[in-house]
Amino acid sequence: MRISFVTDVLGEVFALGILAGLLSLDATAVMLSVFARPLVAGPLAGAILGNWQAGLAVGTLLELLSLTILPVGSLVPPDATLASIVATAVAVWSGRWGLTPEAAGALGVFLSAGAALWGARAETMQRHWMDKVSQQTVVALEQGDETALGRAVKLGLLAIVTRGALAAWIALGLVVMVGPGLVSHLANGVRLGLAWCWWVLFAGGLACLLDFFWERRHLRWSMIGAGVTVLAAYILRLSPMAWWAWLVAACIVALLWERRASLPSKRTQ
Amino acid sequence: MMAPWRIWTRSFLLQSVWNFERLQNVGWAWAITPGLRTLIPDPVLRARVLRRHMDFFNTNPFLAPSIMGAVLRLEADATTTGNRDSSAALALKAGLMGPLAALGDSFFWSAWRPFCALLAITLLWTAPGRASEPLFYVLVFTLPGWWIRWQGLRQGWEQGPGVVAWVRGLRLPEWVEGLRPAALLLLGGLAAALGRLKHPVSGADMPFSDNFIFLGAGFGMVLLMRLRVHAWLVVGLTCGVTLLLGLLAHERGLQ
Repeated sequence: MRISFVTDVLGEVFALGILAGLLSLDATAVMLSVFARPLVAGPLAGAILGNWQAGLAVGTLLELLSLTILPVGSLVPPDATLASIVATAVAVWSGRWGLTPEAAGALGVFLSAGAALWGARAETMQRHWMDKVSQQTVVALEQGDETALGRAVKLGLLAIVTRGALAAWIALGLVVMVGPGLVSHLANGVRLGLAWCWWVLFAGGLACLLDFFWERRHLRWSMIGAGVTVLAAYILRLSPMAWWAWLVAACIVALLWERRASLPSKRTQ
Repeated sequence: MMAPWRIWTRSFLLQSVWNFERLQNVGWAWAITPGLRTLIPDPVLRARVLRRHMDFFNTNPFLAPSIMGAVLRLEADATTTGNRDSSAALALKAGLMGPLAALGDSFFWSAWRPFCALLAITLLWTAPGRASEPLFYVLVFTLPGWWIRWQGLRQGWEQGPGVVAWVRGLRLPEWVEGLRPAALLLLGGLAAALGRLKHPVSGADMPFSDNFIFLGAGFGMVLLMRLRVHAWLVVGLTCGVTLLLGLLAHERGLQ
């Protein structure tokens, strides 16, 4: 049974590795848009596995949990792209192995923590190798060879794609080998706890962000946001889009109000 | 400016050879090459100038094109005066990269990106089951960054070192001051909506939604984080306790 499962998912693992390689480009090297962020990478991985909703659910959780990790200076942050791909794969495959969507999603998020650290390790190794590429480019320029720059950039891009794909194949290979056995041995109580963990992780993601944005003088805006939601969603029972429009309108007011208060002319008064 | 389109597109690859020794040096030199090619036709002399640009460089990628434009302006001035000395350009580059890194990082990474993500997540939360939210996230986050890259390059070329005034005119710190409370407002809205939350795949309601248990757990986690316990440790410990509670509840036949 395990052999048939492995052959079944082989194509999916290959495609997810390619996706991880391509998205690694966006994470640091190319566009720096948010294609590599969990909220986008999750549904993309889910689409490959035939369940983009599961990817979106897991991606939302990981996005909330990883938003406060900032890619500044020479820091190599945990690899949120690889984490979201591994978490989505675990969530979809665990569903096939009999877990409820909530428990499968939580298990995916837990296992993806290891993948995130492994991805950062792989990226660190690749960047050390880039030290040598940079040194060789300097030597080539000293000899008057300007084309070395183009070659270095192409090599860098190739290294990033290869690193992303290899790291994903190794992580997903481990999941494929260990996952079915792990899930089949989970006690029912643990499955129940995992399903609850899904919601705890959501609350944890919001807590991380609240801690990140915490500033005593601004906390009143959280209360206003909560008030708008209670009024729109619970008392007036507006449609979801109307509630969202209310929230966004309040958000724009908060943004403009506080921005205006922080302008230099206001501060000096 | 010569070849602005090519410099702009190449600026997206600033971090393609990111290395621990000199960080963005190769990407920087490669991005400004089209501009230098029109300023310095002699390939040997150009390679020498590019070599000088291979020293340590690190800044926020979205604001890097404004430094590129200003540096190319100084390189052009050096060429027209017949003085092939890049020291002014290199000094400007070294002087601008730190402040612009601080400005750009605090705006793009610690304010704009979380804000855009929260906007997309609230949209997802209110109307689940659609694939448009990730696209919304990509567009809202990316388009201002592209505009700042393009305008920064143009303004840098036109104003040279005066590009600092243009960057100051963007009022990024003031936007950060506005975005943080706006993000807090969205978080308050999301927290209040926890009771209405349904799982996006199964459509299941949150368990114990009437008892506000998860809202309480969230506030407990925030309190621990405010007491300087590491965020991931707090979330991990809470999940561990939840797993134990699940086991106990199942053993006692409560669920």
